[in-house]
Amino acid sequence: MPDQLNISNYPTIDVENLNLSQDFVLFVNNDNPAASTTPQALLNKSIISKQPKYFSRTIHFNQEPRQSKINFKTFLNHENLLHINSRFVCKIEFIVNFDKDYIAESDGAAFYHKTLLLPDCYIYKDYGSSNISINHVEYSSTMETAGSTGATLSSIYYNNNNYNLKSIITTTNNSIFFENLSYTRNQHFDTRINFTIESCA
Amino acid sequence: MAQLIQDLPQPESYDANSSWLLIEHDNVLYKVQASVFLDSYALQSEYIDTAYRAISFQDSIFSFSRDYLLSDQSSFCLSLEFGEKIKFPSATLIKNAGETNCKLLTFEGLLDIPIDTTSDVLNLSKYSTQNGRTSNFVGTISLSSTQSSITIGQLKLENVSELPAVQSGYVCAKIQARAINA
Repeated sequence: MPDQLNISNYPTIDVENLNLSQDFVLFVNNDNPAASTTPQALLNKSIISKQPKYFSRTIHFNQEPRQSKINFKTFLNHENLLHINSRFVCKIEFIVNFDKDYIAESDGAAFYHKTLLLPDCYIYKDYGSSNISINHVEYSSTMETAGSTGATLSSIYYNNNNYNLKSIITTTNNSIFFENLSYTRNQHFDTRINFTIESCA
Repeated sequence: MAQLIQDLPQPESYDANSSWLLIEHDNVLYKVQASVFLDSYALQSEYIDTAYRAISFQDSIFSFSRDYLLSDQSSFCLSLEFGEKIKFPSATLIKNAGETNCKLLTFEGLLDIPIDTTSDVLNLSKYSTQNGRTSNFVGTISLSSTQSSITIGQLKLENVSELPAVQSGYVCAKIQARAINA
């Protein structure tokens, strides 16, 4: 068992002098030295010192009925969001309000409700990886950072058809762009999309 | 001082409640008491108040509390999930290090809630049906830096009596936080 590290005489720091984005942070557990940070982990001290930051973004996506072409775009931006040594998890929640005129009893019990939640989508990237993963209940895909791909973000079964919510996803070092955000079939969808991001950039 | 860190032992488990952060700042090691935790609540109610067309929760107040939870350098993400038989849109409350406001994301958009205040009764979630019923989960949010707590109060699901199938409501709440006393 290694010697216990005695930090009882260490000074405390004033909060205004603390900069977790620059200062080197590690954990020490005096009651259980084995639970402290590893020397090996210190080699990656830039990772240890990263404080999670949380962001939210919301967009409202309301298209006219049977519009022939939908082209809606938004983006998430944070410095070094997709850097090789960054990690992030983005939860995307889709809330759809159907117009009553476009609902029929034959659409089934689910459409008794005007508000419908589509399956959540998660986009994430781990430390040291140059890939990001896009996952929801039915689909999963990966793409390289600084690339572009078409991805299905969620889906809904309605009026005897599957409607897939798709987007072209493009990334840079700081941003994820969602372009051509659309359903695969032309219908009236009044959709709010809420993004919640945890980033260790 | 910096060489001391290289003698740290191998970890087996990490108990955030009894641990410290060591911060190397300008080549000096400082200690900072810290905790990292993930906690959760689940509330369910079958009490329907027909006079007010509402479902009230017997425990209409619940709190998350941890030392330094709302200190300057702390950060957290609190998610609230709502439902009756169906899932409602969720609400998310977040705080980042160095910020004196929390941001609440609901179906309506974003709202700032300053620390050491109690909000008005807010619409936390909403669901509509084709027959025109709109049900709302409502409640207040209190942020107390002196008590290091986040409190959800006056929790209620309103406007449900038109739909006999609705017999209960639930709220699931979970928080992931890094609380730091620097």
